[in-house]
Amino acid sequence: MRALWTAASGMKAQQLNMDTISNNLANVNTTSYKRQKVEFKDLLYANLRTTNLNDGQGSPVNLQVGHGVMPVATSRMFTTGNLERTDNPFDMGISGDGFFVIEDPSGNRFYTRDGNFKLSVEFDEMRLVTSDGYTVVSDFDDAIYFEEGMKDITVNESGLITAETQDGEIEEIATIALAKFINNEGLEAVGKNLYKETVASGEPIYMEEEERTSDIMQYYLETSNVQIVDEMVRLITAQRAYEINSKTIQTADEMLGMANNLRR
Amino acid sequence: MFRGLYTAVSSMQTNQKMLDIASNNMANVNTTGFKKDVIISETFPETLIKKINGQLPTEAVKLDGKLEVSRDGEGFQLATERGFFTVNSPMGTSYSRELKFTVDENGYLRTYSRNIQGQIDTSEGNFVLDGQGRRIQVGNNDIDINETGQLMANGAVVADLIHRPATNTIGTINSGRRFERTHINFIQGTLDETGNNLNFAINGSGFFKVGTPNGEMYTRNGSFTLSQNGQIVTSEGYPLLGQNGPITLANTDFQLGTRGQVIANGQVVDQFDMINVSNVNNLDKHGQSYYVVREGLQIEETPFEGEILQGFLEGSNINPINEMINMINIMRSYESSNRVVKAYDDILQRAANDVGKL
Repeated sequence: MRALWTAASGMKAQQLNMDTISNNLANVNTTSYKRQKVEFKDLLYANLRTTNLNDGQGSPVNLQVGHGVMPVATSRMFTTGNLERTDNPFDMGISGDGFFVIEDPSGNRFYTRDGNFKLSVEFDEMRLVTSDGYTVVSDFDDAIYFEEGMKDITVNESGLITAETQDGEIEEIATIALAKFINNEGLEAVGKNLYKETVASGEPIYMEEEERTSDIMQYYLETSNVQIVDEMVRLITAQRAYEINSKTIQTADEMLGMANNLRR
Repeated sequence: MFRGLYTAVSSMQTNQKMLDIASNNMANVNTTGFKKDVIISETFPETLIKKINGQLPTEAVKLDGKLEVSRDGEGFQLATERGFFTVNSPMGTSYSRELKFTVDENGYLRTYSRNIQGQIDTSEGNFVLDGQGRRIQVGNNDIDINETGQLMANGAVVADLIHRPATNTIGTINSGRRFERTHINFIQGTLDETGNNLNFAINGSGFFKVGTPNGEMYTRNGSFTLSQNGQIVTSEGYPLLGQNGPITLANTDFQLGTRGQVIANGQVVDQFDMINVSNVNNLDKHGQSYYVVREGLQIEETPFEGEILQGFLEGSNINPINEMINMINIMRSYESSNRVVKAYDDILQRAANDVGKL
């Protein structure tokens, strides 16, 4: 009974679909979360017979039995979420296709669209960091420091940070680095809203300040791009698809049972 | 032993194969661009049953009776009360009182079916035989049937379509059913909006061409990504083919015309190399949502007339309700054949144990 295994592949695929949907729903309020989608393709086909028995006709005949379904990829949708105003000067959203560049204490580079930054105090300076304490990288491949007593910190659209010093002068601090990738979908999510470059995403392309295609919006954060209604619809279809495949298993099982009961 | 026992078992085997196909359809209820497989099963040839001894039936085979002829476009539909029509089925000569036939491209008389577009299709048809068991060829002459069941071409009698069996023939019987072939149903699936620039759905007939290590393959699954060198590729990394091979983009910011023109920065930079196949029956499924041309056959290309939608994917064309009903049918048919086998078993059990009991 090939049907049993075929239906089992259908149930397993829908389980993975369900896992993905539940992760999307769990992240409905996660800053800058990008929803994922599972893609399915059909499995191999067995050609049971390839020629017609019609003498002299000899045209090959379609007789193909498939083996079910398999998940081939979970692709991430990099559509932009909404930019919500938070009024916090260290909240930054990106309008466009760029990523902030983040460095962890061991020097590994990550990329994120989550611009919810903080200041971490070190001696008499303050460093711009993510909520996990990882460094936000500037255009000079360096950390961004503020001196004590600086106020009126503003970030313009191209990422240039200016602040008023204690002497009342406006000083340019640094420019926040923005990187982009030729294929966002190839990025590997490592949790904490961070992505890592992979062979599939290509190398990060650092955007020069003059030719940025993305704008940084101070006081804004990008919301998750999960649409609850869409996910709910997917949830229903996944559940019903799971169910329909379980019905196939039941049917195959009953047919096997009948065959077994031929001999009393 | 009993002929019917084997008939019932052949039906059970066919139903089991049908369930294999139905379960694959259901497993792919959420697969992008999936097209369902339809099962075609056929009965074994109708053979003549003859009376072996004893009285001949008073009305053996009518030698004079009505012959009804009606036209179905290009095809003829005949029904007779005398003798039998004969066709050459894959498993031998089959006899019947009704016949539907047309003339195929080689001038032979063949049975036919109609495809999705309603066109006559003789590619899987059986050859019509004349009364002496030979195939009938008429070339491209105009044909007609006279009232005695003779085939006329250009006014001259070519063949007698009716086989008149010996007088002790009492009718026909067939001895079961077999699973003959699968057929891909290319009806349009649903169009689901994804908002992804690299998702394309075809509305209408046609395929994307993909370059794979095993040569060109065709697919309706328009879920693509960009490779690290900027080519539009499938999830396996096979490039989508444009006018000059793979399509290369600087980034995902581009628009697509409905005919597959790739527009970046207001310039048409490439166009998808779409293919539209008129004889889709010559395509085989290769798995991973690809189609390949069946070995030893050619495809006929026609201009692509569908439209391509960017930001959409085509869903599976499986209708769960129909598949459920199909599955219930399969199961109940299996069950009734199963009952027949049991009944035969009861009869045999009586023969073995009860006959001769005092």
